[in-house]
Amino acid sequence: MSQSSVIEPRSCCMTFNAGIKNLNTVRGYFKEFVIYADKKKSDCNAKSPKTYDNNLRRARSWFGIYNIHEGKTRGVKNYFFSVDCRDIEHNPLYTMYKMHNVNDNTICFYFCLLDIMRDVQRPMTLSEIIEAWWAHIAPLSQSEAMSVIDERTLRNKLKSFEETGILRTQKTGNKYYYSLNNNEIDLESWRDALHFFSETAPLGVVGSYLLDRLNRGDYAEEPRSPEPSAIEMPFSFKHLYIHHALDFEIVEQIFEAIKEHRIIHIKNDKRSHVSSQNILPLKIYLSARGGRQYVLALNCDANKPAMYRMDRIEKITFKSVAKNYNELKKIILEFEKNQWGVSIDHFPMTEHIEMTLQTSTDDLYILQRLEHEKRIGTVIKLSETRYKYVADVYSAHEMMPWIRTFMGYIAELTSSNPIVEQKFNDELKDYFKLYGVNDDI
Amino acid sequence: MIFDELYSVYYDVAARVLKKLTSCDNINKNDLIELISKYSEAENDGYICEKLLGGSWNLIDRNDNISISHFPVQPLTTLERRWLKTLLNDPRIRLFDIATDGLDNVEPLWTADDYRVFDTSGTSDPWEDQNYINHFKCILRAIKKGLDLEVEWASREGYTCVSVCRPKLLEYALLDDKFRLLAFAGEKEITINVARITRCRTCQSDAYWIEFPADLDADLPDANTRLTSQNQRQQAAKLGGEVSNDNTVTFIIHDIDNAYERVLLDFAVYQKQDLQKLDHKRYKFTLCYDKANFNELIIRLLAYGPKVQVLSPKLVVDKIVEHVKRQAELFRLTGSKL
Repeated sequence: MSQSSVIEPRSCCMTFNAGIKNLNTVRGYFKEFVIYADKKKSDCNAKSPKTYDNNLRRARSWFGIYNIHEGKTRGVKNYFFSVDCRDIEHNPLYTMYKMHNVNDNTICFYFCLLDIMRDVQRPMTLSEIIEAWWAHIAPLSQSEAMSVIDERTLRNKLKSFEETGILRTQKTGNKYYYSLNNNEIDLESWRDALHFFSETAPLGVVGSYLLDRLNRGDYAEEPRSPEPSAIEMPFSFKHLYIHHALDFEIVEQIFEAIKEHRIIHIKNDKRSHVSSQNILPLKIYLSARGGRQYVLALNCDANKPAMYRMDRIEKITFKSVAKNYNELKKIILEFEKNQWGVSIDHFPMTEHIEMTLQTSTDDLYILQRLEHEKRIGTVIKLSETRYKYVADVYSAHEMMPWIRTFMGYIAELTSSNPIVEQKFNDELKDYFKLYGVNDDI
Repeated sequence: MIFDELYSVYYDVAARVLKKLTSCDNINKNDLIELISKYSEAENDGYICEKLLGGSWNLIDRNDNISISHFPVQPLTTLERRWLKTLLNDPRIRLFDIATDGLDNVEPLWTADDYRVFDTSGTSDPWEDQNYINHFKCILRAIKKGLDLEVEWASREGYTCVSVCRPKLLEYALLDDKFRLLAFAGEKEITINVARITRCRTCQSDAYWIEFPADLDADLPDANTRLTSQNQRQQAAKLGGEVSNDNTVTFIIHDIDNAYERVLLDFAVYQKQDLQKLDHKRYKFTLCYDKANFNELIIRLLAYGPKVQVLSPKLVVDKIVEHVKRQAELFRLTGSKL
């Protein structure tokens, strides 16, 4: 490497490390920046003003080209993320997952191990690996610092690499032999799929990790060259709720618990209070309209099914395997028969609802919308411009937001839950007051 | 685990630097510092420079000794393989020409039984229809290669429309599980449901045009009013256009039944402009919206009933009032309530 006058790196603070050890320390702050736009430093229950400032600094750095907007409420500043989701090519919150703090010894050992394995091209024992590693780093001037690392620590590091799937081990006699797992995947062929699914599939940050590999070109000894492309990202996304990324750790653990049929202990933060429960997760539900994720689970303490918001689950501890999981899984099928949303308190009892829509021939798209959005309900044609929607759901009240969207076309609304009709009628009167509409129409 | 140092920017930058050092002979230290600055987060490049080039990571030291001799080839992790395996069960994977070798020995992370989007509008695109798949691949190829498209489609009213256009983006909408083609056709922008396309081929053209029946009210936006991504802004500027979003809506949230939190979650997909707390139960919220999605905005606002009180623009207020008045009149006529 040639020497010339050395330029300084971009940042002026050489010692600032933006890395994080624990996602939960930043999750709360980022939820405030991305979703709730009016939170100020004093509202965030920050351990110290410096913690808030550090996280704001991280947000500004990680969100890059996307804006952290500065607002003011009664003279006090507040900060929020301000971008139309269709302008987002890659979820900026994925950067959070790429800021895991690094152990100096682990990163050294990792890259040296890759090099050693490539040199030797055969399975190696721990002692052979250690000897080869020392040979690699000995020429470096600061290698003496590594002399304190013992065999047990290195064995643990190899074990962690095995757990991530980079290494495999085989036992011959009483010795363990380590070798690298092969990369047989033609990752280049996945490029477009990765661009799409990294923003739309659960745990999409894994797609982002794979795109990083593609862009580095280090996933294979002879990686395929990308096709020349006029545009890097051919997709844009409507209804992209980036804040889902804040819950990926929880989602990953829930999927694991479902796979293993495992009961988990959760710490549930409901803003007004924190509760702990033992639950058996059964299925994850995502709302495309409201941007929330839920897990349907059996509350083992109360022995009844319940829905839990993923963004409120703070911590998960794995417990025992449920013996009668396949029996309990049938709850899902039963629940989905009359599922409108996530209301499950009255399950399996249902409430009946009927809504008759009256349109004109110019507004037939309303009836089309009814047909598309009916979910478990039934649409009955009464005439060319008059249709009835009928459904039995666990909570007719939960349907109110959807019912309201047909405001102006509802000829009749009845339900076995009398609150629904009364509420709709009261809200119409409230509308008159809000907009100064004369109720003598 | 999904949060692991192996996926971190530190490993990413180290791998890039080591790859550079092992594959090029005459590397200037400034080149490495620039490489580190380019790929590390803005605040972190000094830290990474010190650790990587300063010797703390024992990969490179201050005397330019390197501890490795080959550029690093990093195997995929089990998490990465399992995530790819899971995608093989997604019906939309048929839209892409992927190689599936190498995924036999891993289990998917989840199955269709474990996960569901429960409130889409039930109008998914036909992911298994071969014509649809062919049209999608044709559009994708055209976008990536910068080619023009000749496309024929059926409008919502059933009319046949044809266009020669420059495709720019494939927009995916989770709410209706559909793709739409966003394209320039001369001075206009067109948006076409991919599922409505009947014919599609790439071409090279000197002129763009759209042909549709005279009695079809196709109020197409002028070019550059919809395509507002950061990169597209730059491209639009090159074409001589300018993209702006002057359409804002301001409303008061009356925080009853947790409306404040629900509104902020629901409208998180919009660009926020301002949010102020008026008192302990009321918030004033301003956000930007796209004229082309005006109806969707109205639907979202109506869903909250009188908990959301629109202040401006007059266009939106008038639309809400129109719905309210029509509803009151309908109830009076039918004798339902009020």
